[in-house]
Amino acid sequence: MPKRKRTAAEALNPDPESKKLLPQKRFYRQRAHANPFSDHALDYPKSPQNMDWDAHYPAFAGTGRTPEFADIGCGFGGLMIALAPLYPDVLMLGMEIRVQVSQYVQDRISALRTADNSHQNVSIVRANAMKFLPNFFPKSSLSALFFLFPDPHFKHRKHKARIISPTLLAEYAYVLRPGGIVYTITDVKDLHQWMKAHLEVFPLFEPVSEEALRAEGKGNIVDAVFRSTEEGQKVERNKGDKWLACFRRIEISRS
Amino acid sequence: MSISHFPHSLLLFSKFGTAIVASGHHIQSVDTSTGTVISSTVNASDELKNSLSKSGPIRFIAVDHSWKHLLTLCDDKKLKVWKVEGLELLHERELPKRPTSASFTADGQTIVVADKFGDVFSYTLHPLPVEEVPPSQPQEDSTTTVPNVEPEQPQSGSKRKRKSKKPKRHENPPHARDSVDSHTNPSGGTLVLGHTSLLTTFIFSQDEKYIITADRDEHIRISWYPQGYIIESFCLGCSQFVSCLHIPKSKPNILISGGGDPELKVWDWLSGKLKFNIPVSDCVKEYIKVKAQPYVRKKFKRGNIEAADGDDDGEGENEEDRNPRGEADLASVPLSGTNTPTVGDSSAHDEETIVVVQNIETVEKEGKLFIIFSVVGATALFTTAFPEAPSDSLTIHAFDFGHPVLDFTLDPTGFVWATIDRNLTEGSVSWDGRTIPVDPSYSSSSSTHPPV
Repeated sequence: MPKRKRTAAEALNPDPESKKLLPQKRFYRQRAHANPFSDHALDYPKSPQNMDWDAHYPAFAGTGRTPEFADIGCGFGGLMIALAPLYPDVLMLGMEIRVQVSQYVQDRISALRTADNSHQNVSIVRANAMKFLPNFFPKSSLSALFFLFPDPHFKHRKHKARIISPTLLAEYAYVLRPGGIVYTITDVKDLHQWMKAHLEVFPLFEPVSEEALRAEGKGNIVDAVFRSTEEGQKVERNKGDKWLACFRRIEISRS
Repeated sequence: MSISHFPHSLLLFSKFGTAIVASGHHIQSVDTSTGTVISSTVNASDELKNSLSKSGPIRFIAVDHSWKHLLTLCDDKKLKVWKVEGLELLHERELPKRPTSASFTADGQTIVVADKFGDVFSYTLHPLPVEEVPPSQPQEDSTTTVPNVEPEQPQSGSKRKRKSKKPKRHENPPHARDSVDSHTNPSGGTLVLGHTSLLTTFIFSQDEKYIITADRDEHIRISWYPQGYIIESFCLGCSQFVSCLHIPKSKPNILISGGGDPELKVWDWLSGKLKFNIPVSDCVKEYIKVKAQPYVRKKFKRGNIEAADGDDDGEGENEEDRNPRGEADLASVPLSGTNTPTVGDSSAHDEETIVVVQNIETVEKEGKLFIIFSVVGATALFTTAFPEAPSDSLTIHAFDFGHPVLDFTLDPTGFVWATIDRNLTEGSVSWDGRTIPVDPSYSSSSSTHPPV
């Protein structure tokens, strides 16, 4: 696709003063994929106890709160930005492996915090969630995990790099508390079927319908999952389909 | 070339008075009281010897509790199961990825294998009847952990065709785009669990209700067995890879781990809590005589070691292996004391000694527990008392053999048996395995040491 030229109007009227603080995506260009298996120069805590959440959420320092929502592969952070005002007491953490993109989210959050003191409850780490999720979150510490428009990895050889796989689901179940919800959404039907199939057969997850979630009062989350992410908005612009699949963490006892 | 040129690199000891040693790509069983070789694959048929040498050096051996079956893992993706008596190769199975570690379950009927892709599969002791077809015929393939996959009839058909043409190249048959199978296994293994990083080792808890897996990215994971999808806890806090795990017999709740960290770590594994650190690095360093060759990317390596002219394939990951094809590897491993000039600008790395704990055992003596461990490239075995309190200051004793220790094991009476590499001492230059002949008898290359 050719580069979109700035329209004359855009050129004449630069961003209004209020938006000046916000980072601009065009300065954070990055290719869409990162290899989750290679050794990136990552900074991760040795264990969850070594994680200093106060630095991430200064407004909550000393409260002992830890993140409850994790957006895996948060991209440009649209979901968290949308959810933050809806759940002001819930800490949310985005994880993103791409340097530029995570930097963008970082700058976006600090801009929002400085501008109107909002979004104190969201933060971002540059991390490889496939490898180091248990380094950040203790057992049963999360109530929601989001996998929104993940990299589809179309080729069969690349399926092992998909963020949902039978072996990785064990780690997601480990960090989720019983009753916690996994939200997945994608515009790629094959990937949707893949994620659904693996989550359905995984013994620690049971499917939960969109209606059931809305009945529980999680409708605003579902709406945000559908519409708030940059990727979701792009799909909407292109009039593509979106497939949602949500699952609840259940407990099973040792027979 | 005779086997005797290779040191015995792996050692197992039974309560039945025999030991099994692996040397290069051969295995031998040895009478431990006389040192005579009972049986050896050196005397096997040419066909078997050929296939053994193709498989490369043996990386891992394990025996079941009743000492009936033996498994070996080599550099290829094969799981070989042997009868211990007479060292008869029963069968070999193809594995999905290159294995790193394996174990029999207590009943000896299941083999669990960890691989370089981070997955753990379990296999029945003997292959399922379906797979007992001659290797020339196509095998039923693509067992998957997800039961509701579409029938794969067309795929196995196309695979059949490809197989007959180029049996080696098409390991992955074409898959439908919407296929949901994730962990295909050529030998019908059951997926137990998986990490995203390479698995280095694993052990079972004593009641075999848990499996403890360790990977190169500092994780020690405690999962249920056989329900490996349920994670009980993680033992987190290592800053380097983990390479060995041990649970003392008398303390089933304790896990001792070692790896690239400068200390051994003692965990309460069920809760994942770190109990003690046992600093070992300082005491151990002076005994490390064989040093790891720093990883150099292949293209740089090529140019620099042209003189050595080996078919170096850039896989010198286990510097203690002396394999015939790795001449270049050997030539370029720096030896402290000789200052052998080595690859390019790696001299800076020579100064740095990397401690890699290779094996940990514990032995009880007079009611006290002692830890025995070996370190890659060191000429000594090390022992220390098991700490009772974090404040205990521990002294580490070293038993110096003067030659690098390759492996060690405990016999039921509490004796420590070690294999050492007599080809190599500090200052010895000609240690390419050809120039110094070694007496092939077992006792010459191993020695006993009373515990502590």
